Amino acid sequence: MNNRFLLRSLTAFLLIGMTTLLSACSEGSTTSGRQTLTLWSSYTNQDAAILIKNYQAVHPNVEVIHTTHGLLNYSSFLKERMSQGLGPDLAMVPDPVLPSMIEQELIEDLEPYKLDTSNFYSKALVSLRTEDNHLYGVPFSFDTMALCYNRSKAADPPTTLDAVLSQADQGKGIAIDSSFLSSAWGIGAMGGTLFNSINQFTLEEEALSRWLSWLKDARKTPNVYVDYRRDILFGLFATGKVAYFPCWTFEISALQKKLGNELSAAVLPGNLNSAAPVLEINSLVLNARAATTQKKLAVDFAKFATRREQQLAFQSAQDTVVAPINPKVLLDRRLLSIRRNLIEQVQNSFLIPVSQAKYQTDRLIYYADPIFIRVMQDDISPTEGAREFINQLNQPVDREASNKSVSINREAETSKVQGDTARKADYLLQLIQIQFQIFRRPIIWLQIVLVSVVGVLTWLIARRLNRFISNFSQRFTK
Amino acid sequence: MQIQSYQWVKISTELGRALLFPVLLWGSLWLLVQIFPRSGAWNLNLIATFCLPLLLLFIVYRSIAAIVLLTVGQEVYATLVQRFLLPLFITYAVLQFVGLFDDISLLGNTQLFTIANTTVTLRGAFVASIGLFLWFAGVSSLAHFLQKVLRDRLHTETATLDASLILLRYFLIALGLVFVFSELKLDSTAIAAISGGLAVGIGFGLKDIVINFLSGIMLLFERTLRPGDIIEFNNKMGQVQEINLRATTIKTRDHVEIVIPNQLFWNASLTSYTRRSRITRFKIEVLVSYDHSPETVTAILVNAVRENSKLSTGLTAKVELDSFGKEGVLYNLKFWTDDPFAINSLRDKIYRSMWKAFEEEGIELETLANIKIHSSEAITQLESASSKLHENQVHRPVTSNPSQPHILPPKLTPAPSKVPTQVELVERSFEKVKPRAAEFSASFYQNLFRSDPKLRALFKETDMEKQQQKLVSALVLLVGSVRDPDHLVPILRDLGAKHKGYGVIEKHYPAVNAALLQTFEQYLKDNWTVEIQQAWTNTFDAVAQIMLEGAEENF
Repeated sequence: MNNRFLLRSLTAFLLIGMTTLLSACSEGSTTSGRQTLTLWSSYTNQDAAILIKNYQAVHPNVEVIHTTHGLLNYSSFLKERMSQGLGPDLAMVPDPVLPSMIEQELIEDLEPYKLDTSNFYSKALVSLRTEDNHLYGVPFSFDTMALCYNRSKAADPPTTLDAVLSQADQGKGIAIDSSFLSSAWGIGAMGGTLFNSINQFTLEEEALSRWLSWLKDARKTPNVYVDYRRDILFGLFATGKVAYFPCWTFEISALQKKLGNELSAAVLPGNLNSAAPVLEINSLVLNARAATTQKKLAVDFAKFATRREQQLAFQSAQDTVVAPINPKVLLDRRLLSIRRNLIEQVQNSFLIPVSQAKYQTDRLIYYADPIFIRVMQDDISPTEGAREFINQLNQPVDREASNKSVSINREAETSKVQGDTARKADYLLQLIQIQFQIFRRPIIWLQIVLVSVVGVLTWLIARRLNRFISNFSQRFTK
Repeated sequence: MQIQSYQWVKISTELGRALLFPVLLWGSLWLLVQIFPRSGAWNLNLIATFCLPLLLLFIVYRSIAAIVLLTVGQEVYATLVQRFLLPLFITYAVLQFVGLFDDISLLGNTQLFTIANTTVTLRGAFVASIGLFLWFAGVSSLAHFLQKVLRDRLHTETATLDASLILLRYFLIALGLVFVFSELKLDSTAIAAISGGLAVGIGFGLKDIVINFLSGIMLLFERTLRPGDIIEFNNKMGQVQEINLRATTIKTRDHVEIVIPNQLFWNASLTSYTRRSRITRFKIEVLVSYDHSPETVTAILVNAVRENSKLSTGLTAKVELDSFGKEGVLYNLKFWTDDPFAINSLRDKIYRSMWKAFEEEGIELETLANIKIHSSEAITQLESASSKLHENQVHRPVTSNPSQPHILPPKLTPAPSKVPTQVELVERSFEKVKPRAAEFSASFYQNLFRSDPKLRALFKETDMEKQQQKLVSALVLLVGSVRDPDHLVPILRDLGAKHKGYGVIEKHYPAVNAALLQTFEQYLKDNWTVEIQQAWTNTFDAVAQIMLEGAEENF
């Protein structure tokens, strides 16, 4: 209420601003020769530490500060912070998030860094390149689906859809998520494919119709549960009520905690063709607002993390099960059977390319899920459903609606497999380092300078105006 | 109109002082954000999404602060704004700032340390420290705010309000503590171990604290003691300032604050002058020789009270002949006051008046009179087994008066006073109104209903003409008997009891008195002097008091 308080606040504010400016002026310089790289991912600190320790062993002058965010709201939070000029130097994100990040110019185009992409599966780059062939992420790992099974209930997982039904008849039940993304593997099994080798949308109405029909009919078989509520299906499998569950790689760790060594994974069952689940790429993206030196450091770390030996080392992660991005990584089936089978499944999976706005993940889910539910509820026939879906996809893009839809879907999907996101006390000290790191960014100190200058000028003007009003009111009251 | 204009200028100036800077800053930053590109490398999204919303909140905060300062006053401003809203805003701003660098909900899970199998997280530590501080400050501010608003706007009784707010405050504080404990997620085994250890501690070292605490709760719940009460405890008279869970603070007439542990109230008896009614009767014993007629002494004593007490006019002052002793006749002067805390001052004035009157009558005072507090209606005893003896001491009239006044027989008959007494003023002024009594009565009811329309409901089924006649009769009776309290008091007491039956309650009396005074002013016009106003005010106050007594005792 009094001007002294305001004056003090402004002075303090200016001091902070000037300090930050001074530190910003020394951009690129390091404290006692050390550099700090900030990294965000949905991996637990324990898992990320595998890579960080290895990297710091080679680069002792670099401190990599990893912040785990779990799966819930991670992407939206990251995008929000990046749009403010904040966020980490380097972030691990799933490829469906990339199109919006590219569009908002939040992440760095990696073409100037001339990355050697020969170490990656060729399909790993499909969803990270834009139409003009610019690369925006360094692929790190694959997330896909496999047939999780309980070894205590079934020793011989089915390889065909018919075998699935016959085993279900024998009491070895299966829980199938009927939502689009989690059931897309069946389209491949029915001889269809969403995208061809040159990333064109090639989904045929017939294959989709066949798959929807199979799902619908399968419900009539005892012990076959087809539902869109994934948490219920997850619970059925985790509690041993069914033997099979087409699971996501990010669910395997949570299932392992429930079923222990009884959990195993096999390739998804096919029919006319092999099953082809959706393949998601976890990629490392650079914050476009990061300082230049930080970007270079981030690229260096990304290159390091995708090296063959680091990919192999990451396979020993406790809380994360992913398929390696480097084809040279060989896993012993006897030691890492689940992960070995995942690599096999990766070969028969399909990617949703980032280049085609019409067929991006969000939009596919937005249109497919309600139709799939209506088919399962017998509101429309599978053929009608397939036709409607393809027709709707060819309509103009309704971006706002589809974004909303996917965020809800993801939250429901991941609520049961949220990793341990708890931080240790020493993270608080690291947080201060993170703040200093961020304050060095040009966009941040520009805003601090602007706010400081405008604040001081406004304060001076307001003070004069207040004096004028005060004098005026005194005359009036006299 | 001028006053209203001045108020508006004051409000505008204060609001300008509070809001001009943040509003200008918000406007300037908003313009900046619009000027710069929305996307790309040089956007000002941080200002747009962090500074501007925070500034808006700051503007809201400053607005609330200014409104509170202007409407409720500095005291509430200090507690509500400075101790609560400002720290709350700062905390929010800091959290928002930290939230820029990390997800604040996840950051709250940061494990700080482990104690007794319980991992204390940053959220737990925050809730237990800053959260609890803000909660306490908020509860305290809310209590202050409610106290101020309810007392000023709704005219709620202070003592009841204070007691209710104390209970509310402690309830909310307890609620906050429960929440903190639940947030800390203390290990039940550890709690059991700590509780076991504490139980031993409570058994020995903390016994008194617990007893005081429980006594405080009982005091508040039983409402035997409320803030604002005037009490006598351990021969010290004081006004209860605040009742906390451990101790109660009373302020003596010398402005000395005494903090009394609550358990003492629980174990001993105290004298309350204000528990059910603030009206207390005091007694002065006066020893006068046989040479003076009782009428002379009575007149002097009653006049002494009448001149000095606003409430205790001749109607409520009473002189009783107590006993015939060797040295003279013992008179008891009994009088009422609604301000027992100021009894010393009143007693002083009565003594001085008595002294002067005795001198004027030629009566010499050789010793001082003795004053005893004696009001069974007003005294409250908190009973306990150990307090019986004390209780007896309080009630027992003191028989040994070391220094009774020795009053000599008057050498002269009382000379008539040149200045008219209040009784004479009442009588004379009423004579002027009497010819227009019916009209007066009608005007009175008009004034009464205008000032308090709700009172019409009491006369819903009443024949107003008859009612007006009754009022005239009552006024005639009052003025006619004003010199004869023994005759008037029983009638008034009976009237009070009857009025309670009609639905008349204590808070109606001031309205009636005010309407009567207003009507007298209307009819007496230029004859309505300050002295006459005082005389009627005292008379109506006394009438109201006696009627209320009657209502309390006889209904």
